[in-house]
Amino acid sequence: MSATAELAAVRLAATPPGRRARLFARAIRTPGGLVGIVTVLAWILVGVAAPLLAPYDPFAIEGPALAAPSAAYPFGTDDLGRDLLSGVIWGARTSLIVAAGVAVLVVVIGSAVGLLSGYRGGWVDDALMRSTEAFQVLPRFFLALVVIAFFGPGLDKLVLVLGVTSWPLLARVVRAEVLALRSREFVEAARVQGATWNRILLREILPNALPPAIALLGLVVAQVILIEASLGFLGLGDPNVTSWGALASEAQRFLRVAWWLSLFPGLAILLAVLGLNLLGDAVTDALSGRR
Amino acid sequence: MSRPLLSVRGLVVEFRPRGGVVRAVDGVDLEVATGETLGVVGESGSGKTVTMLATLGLLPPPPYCTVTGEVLLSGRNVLAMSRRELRDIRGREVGMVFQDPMTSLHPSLRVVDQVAEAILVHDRRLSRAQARTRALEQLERVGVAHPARRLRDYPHQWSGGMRQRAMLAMAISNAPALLVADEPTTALDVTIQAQILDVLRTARDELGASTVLITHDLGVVAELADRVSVMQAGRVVEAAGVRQLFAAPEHRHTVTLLTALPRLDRPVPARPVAPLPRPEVLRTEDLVTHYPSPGRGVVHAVDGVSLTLAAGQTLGLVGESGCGKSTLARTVLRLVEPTSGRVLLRGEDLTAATGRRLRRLRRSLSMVFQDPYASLNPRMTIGEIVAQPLRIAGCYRSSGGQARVAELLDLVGLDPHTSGRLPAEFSGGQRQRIAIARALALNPGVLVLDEPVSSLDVSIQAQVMTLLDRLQRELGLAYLFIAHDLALVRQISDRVAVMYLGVIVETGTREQVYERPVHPYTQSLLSAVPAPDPARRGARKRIPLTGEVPDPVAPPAGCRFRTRCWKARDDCSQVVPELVVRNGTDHPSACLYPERLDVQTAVGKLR
Repeated sequence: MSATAELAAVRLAATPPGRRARLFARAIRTPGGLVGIVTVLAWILVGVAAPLLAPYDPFAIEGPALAAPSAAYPFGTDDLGRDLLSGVIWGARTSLIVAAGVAVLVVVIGSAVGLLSGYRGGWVDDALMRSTEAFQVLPRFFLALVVIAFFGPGLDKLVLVLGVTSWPLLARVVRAEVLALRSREFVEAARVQGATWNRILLREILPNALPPAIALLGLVVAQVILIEASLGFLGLGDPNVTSWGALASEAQRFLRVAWWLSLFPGLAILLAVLGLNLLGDAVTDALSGRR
Repeated sequence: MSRPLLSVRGLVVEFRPRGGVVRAVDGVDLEVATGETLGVVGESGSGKTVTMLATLGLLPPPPYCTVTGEVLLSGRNVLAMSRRELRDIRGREVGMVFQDPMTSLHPSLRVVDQVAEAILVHDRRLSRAQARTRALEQLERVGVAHPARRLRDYPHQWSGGMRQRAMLAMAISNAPALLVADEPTTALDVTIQAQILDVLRTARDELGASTVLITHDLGVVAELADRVSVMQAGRVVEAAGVRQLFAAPEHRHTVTLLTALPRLDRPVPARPVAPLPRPEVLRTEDLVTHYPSPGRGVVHAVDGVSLTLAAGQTLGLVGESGCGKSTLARTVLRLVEPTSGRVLLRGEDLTAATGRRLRRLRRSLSMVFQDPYASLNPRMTIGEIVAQPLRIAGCYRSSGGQARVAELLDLVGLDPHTSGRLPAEFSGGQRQRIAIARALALNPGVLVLDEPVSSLDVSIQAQVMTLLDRLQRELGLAYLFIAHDLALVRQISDRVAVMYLGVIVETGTREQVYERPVHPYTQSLLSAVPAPDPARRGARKRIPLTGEVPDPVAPPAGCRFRTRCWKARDDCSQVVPELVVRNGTDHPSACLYPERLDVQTAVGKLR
């Protein structure tokens, strides 16, 4: 047993850092990539640890109304005396939930459609790409509005609507990659060995087609955050959770008297979207330098 | 000797990628006298191209790249020149021809206009019409037939050989004093290479220009160069007159290059005699593969090929690019479905097999691809890559798992401890070893090798060929060895088949095909191979082939070779010659008038 462990240790030591790690290292070596990764990590961290980080309940009336930022209330309070910092922190969680949910849906639907369409070709490709176009022309924002108007607000519905409408771009990228990879010699080598087509798709093609799609995902998710914030701004968000959009919306009325109410939620949206864009760009750049 | 036209002293070129310095050229001295041809020889990465780029001031500016030393062109220092001065000498005093004619022409400008532009840039007094007339003259000079009829052609309408002629026309259009050719024929077929080398030689002699010929091909050097500089790892390791270098090489690297080179003018070691009986393991019966080419018609890639391969033997398949040899290989493996005909693997019909039976049959047939950079999945470790066939066949555990993978890596001469690494960390030769290990995983009896070493340097090529030879002896493998390099195929083959435009034109034992070729195509192919022997330069007769391979969408009626054949008669266009043994020959050929011809290749001379 210990001999096996030793062998494993030797092999581990002999194994250089993986390709993914190197790609990541290359991506964050640029200033843009570094800012992007730090911002996105901060956003994720705040979102996940919101209950621990938020000093107060975002809906509880804690202090004086419209108090300017101070030591007790770093971001100030709103007209009802609710702590804005807690609101922004819980807002991060809301946007994170929506973004993560949509990202999962987009990756699953987008890569499945892209893989099948690119690999099978023929009528399968035609059918899938035509339906992709159908989804692509749907105005996402208004569809989300309609769904909320019909079924009432709720994060689950929002995730579903945005997820089901955001995948076409990803599917197209995956399809293009698959088309290029399909006739590569290592894929042919697997075919010569008698590999089944699902093995070829999952083991040979998918790992090579996914990285550029993931780089694109950052940009898709950034848009999703903007839509979520916009819906919140229009008062169509889930009233049971705080969102950056809703905070910014309330701040409108006090634009002249309480600058902090619009500044901090706005800044949060800006940073999250900017961070995702920078990260996506950096990963794309790092990928395009690959052999 | 008069003052040299070009003199390079202590040239050092350093590239500075992020976090490091790469010294690509490390103190190179070169000298080219007026009217002289210098061959610069080396393997990939030896710094030969970078040296020439530096000489012409074509490298990126500091800080990415620093160039030190001295480069004197007609007594003036190129390294100290301003951009304007550099522009002035490029194209006028120095003409350049690059390796890849497919990418070195502007794809959306007409060819003739590009040549005219090269003239116009340096002589602004000319009108466009005058420049065009001059361009047509130049194109005619390099052997482009009827350039005036091709005024409106774009580069994609020209073949590789034609484009290289156009590049050459541009290079010589301003009568430069120095001609720099960087691997001018590497991307071309051997018959086209012979044409281009002829044109290059004539142009050089007419202009009286000095020439720097950069190449990895010692045969080309032996044909054209007066002196040779051998480069290795950024240094010139040996410089000598061409005859002296080939007759008595001094540096170890030169010796390696010369001995590793497969050549037609030296005897080859005898093939191992496989034990009898030698059952037939692979047979194709009248195999036909046509595929549609949108907007053009049907490509007759493989048009009725029957071959047999015996256990433990090698069948070499040679032919120029586009002759259908790769399609044939892919059809044999059913990567492409045949239009008609059969492939029999140990008597079982592979073309009719489906599903489970096809997968079982495929286990005894394996393939090694040409490009080791494309044939390994970049995201799998080499252990996973080699284990892949075992896993697919479902016998990873039963065959020994990790131990089997280690055994396979050891078999091809790789350290089994490296199995956790990714392909990116291996060199081309090592990658091809990995591909071979993968192909051997299931103990196949037959290996299809599609140009397995053509992307490798000569010395690495020799190592991989030695490995293939050893594996064949040890494991009793049968090889279908496909290559365009005639000398290479000769080394390893028991039997040889020559392919032209989808059909086999001649087949026989190695000795029959190489020493007593009867088909005119085989004869011209053999005569076109440059012999790495400067002493016999000019002593050999060439059978120059005119023109290019016809379009496989509409192959010529009757004999397919007749459009380029010097023996073609009227009946050649009416009768399709069968591949049979005819009077006065001892092996099958597809020619109505086969005859043994003293090709005066080195091979003929030997006997």
